[in-house]
Amino acid sequence: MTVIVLPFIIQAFLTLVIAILSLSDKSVGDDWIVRTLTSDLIRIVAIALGFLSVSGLLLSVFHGDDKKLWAYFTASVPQGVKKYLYTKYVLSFAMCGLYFVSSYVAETLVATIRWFAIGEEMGSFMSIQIIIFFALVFMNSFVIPLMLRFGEKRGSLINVIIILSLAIAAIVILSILPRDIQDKVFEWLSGFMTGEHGDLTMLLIGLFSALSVVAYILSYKLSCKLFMTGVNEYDK
Amino acid sequence: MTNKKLEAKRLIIFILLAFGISWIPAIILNCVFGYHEWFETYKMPFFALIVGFGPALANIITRKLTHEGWHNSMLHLKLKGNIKYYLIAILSVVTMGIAEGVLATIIYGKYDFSDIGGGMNGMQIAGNVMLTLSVVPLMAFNTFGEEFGWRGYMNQKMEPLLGTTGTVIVGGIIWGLWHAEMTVAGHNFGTEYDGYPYLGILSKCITCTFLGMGLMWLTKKTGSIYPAAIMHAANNFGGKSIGQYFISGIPEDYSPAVTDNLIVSIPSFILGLVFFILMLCDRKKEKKM
Repeated sequence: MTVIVLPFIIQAFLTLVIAILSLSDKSVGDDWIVRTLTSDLIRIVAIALGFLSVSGLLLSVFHGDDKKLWAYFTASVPQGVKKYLYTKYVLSFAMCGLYFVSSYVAETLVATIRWFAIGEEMGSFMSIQIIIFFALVFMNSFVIPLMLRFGEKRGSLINVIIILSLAIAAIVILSILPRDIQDKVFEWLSGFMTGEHGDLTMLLIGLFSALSVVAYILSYKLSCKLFMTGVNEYDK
Repeated sequence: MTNKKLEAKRLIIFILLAFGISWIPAIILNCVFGYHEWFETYKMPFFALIVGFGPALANIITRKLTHEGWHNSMLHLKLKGNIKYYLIAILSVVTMGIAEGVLATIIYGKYDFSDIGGGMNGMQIAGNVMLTLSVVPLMAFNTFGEEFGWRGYMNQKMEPLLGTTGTVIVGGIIWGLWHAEMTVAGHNFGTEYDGYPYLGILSKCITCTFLGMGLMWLTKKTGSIYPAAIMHAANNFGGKSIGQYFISGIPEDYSPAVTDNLIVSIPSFILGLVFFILMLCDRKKEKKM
């Protein structure tokens, strides 16, 4: 239920905050409330926050399962570890899908409200939502095996350390590059975001989508192998 | 009330609701705003979602009204042993698209295959194909609104009453007629063709009947409506667009008539018949057992 309701809650909260902050500035006209509430900035921030929140929620599928007793019980039943992990992976994937659907429905509602309130047509952020869906699937491919191997707390910590290390490495590498190469990289990234490199953008997004699904399937296979190894790291 | 009478009553309630929930807002929106404004732009996308989910809502309301419960709702994924059907759902549409592109080149392009690829380079084609194939399953939530109604409810009620063949034909016609409001507004073929709007509605009923064969086969094989939703999404949201790379030799200003669309759709009709024959064979096997 949370993955359905969350996009709506985040959108409503953010628009309330921005609306309160914008109270002093009424120069945009009488329709400033709806214009602010349905602006592209609010939508992008809401999508980003929704992504961060839901990525944490997805891991709650495994919450509380990192107990030795439960792990040995799972291994002892006829269906065994494979069926247990299969169910978890399918559930996690379905939750990603549910988030995508609820985000899409929220966006159609916002677009319709904006049109009726101020007569302006909104641009669709469907492409961003598609990328976010596959990003969630891709992230889970790495995080789930880590959690199974090291337990929920340690696995999440290792995940955060890896992501931060990659981010820091990227920043350090970019900063030590010569100035002209830095400019070329930022120019290319900017073109990528605005669709200037249309062909390459489509190919990379298509490849990323396929890679995410393949990574998710391989992650399941890896998790099956790692499950009993990780049991020793769990609490009683 | 006998079982058949009860099922017939449920079927009628479902059809009335499916048409009502979808048609009433569509008619109002077409009259007030015009089809292009509310359906083809991003001004009122929420209403398009409601109209598309009419059959699904009709399913839910009919079950509630007639106290049917959720037996045979077909909402489970049923992935085990059925992955091949999920793949068939996408690949069959891609195959149809390619075959239709080749047929269009043969008939209307006069065998001129020199412009295959449409002037696009390998990267563009590869990117387009990969993006289409990855997006299509996601768009299945859109077509879930129809499939949960038609294959998830109507076909199940119809088959004990009319048999498999009757269900395919009558179900396809009903599905095509459900589109009539939008077809008349110009959704599928525009409004400037000979025989408007009757030829357009007839064409839609024919294509829905043949597409319905594949959708029904997938649903019966898997016991789930998701493969049908994915196949429907592939059909609606670009699964056939891969076939455009096989179109060549046709003048850019050529505007196909409704009958031209039907002729080019012959590969889809053939594939539909294959699915239909497979269904009949399965039915024979079930009866023997």
